[in-house]
Amino acid sequence: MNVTAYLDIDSPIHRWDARWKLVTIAACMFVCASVQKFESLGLILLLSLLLAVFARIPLAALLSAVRRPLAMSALLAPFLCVSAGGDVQCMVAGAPVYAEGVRLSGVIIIRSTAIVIAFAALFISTKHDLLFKALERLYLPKKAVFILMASYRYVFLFMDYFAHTLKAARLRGFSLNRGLLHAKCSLHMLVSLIVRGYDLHEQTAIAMRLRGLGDRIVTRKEFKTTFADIAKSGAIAALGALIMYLETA
Amino acid sequence: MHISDGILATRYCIAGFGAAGVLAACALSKTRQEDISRVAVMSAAFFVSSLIHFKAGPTSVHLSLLGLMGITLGALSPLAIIAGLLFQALMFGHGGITTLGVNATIMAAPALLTFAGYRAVVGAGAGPMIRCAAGGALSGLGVFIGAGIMLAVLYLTGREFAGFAVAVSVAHSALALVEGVLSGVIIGQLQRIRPEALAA
Repeated sequence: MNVTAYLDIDSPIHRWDARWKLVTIAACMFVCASVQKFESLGLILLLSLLLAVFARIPLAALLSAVRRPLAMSALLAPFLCVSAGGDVQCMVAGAPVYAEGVRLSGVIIIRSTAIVIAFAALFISTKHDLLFKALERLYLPKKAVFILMASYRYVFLFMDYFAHTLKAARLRGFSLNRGLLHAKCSLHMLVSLIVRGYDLHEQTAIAMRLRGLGDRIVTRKEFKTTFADIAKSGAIAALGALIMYLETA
Repeated sequence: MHISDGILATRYCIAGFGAAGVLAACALSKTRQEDISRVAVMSAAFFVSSLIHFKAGPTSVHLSLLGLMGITLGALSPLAIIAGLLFQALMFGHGGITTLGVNATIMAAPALLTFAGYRAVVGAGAGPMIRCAAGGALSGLGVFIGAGIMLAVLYLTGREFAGFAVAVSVAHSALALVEGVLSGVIIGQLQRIRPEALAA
């Protein structure tokens, strides 16, 4: 289970109208990106964790979602601590550790964690066809939504193809990280993926035409806004406004 | 060549979405019905291709493929780049959601420049070898330009990021060299196997 998979359970976040959910959580992520003060940072983390709890995201999926961004922030943090400049907090192994660098590292780690958790709550609780349909209803150009949807479908197909190619190559003694000969093999593999992509697009275009598919997202679900949808969005918007007020006060 | 969530100030994230929106709108205006499947499938193919790592000294690198995307998809490449970056953020946690616009601009602008340069070389009637060399050089230059834009964005965000920005840019300059050489070889192979895949 990871955040790219839809979790088929019942929860208040699952029942939330996809259009309201998309707009509210997107706004919530931008609130997360704007805060600097530690009390506001605590609140955004709490807000995103509440979303995850209400969406009933399994802990393993949540940890898997935050693992990579945390690793990236962990790489950045030591660098910022020793290069940010300003007041020196302490010395570690002869290198100055700047107070501003430590503060910024903390801000970045909390912000990115909150953003990823909020996004996970959105993605794991919404069927993907509904998410794309919601994007279409929110006036994102139909062609763009269709490209996103079709790409998402083909990513998994190409990953399968790549896994099979890699397995076949490994059975023949190929390794990803050894010498020039293996770099040549990797290069051939890359070219074969691009050529396969080009070949497949022609077949896909014909299939789409034959099935009468244009740039429409086909789903049986119709959206209907209820009072509960507005109340959920309102509650999160109020919390977001409170956080922004605390930030500017 | 991705900036993670939480690093940039909101105004830069919004400006990035604005710039990426303009690039995407221009690309969409040129997208015909039959191009939709091409952009979608090639976007997925490039996304998976970027998972292939190459050994470079003590570490291994994966190609950004932005030059190749520009050369194969032409003016439509920003759409494929946006889709690819979204999936990278979603599946692997590379880059971010709030920084998607900035990251897309960092990659799409050089991809379009690479395409324009490559088309000029092809238009001038250059032979296959010169096309490969020019394609490779332009792809490398594209990575270099992308790193330059990233340096500028990080520097604008705050002076505290200056040291980090310079270190990242130096690393990407080395990557530009690897990307240039490998892209040239890939363009050569595509010219032989599937020349129609090259948009220019």
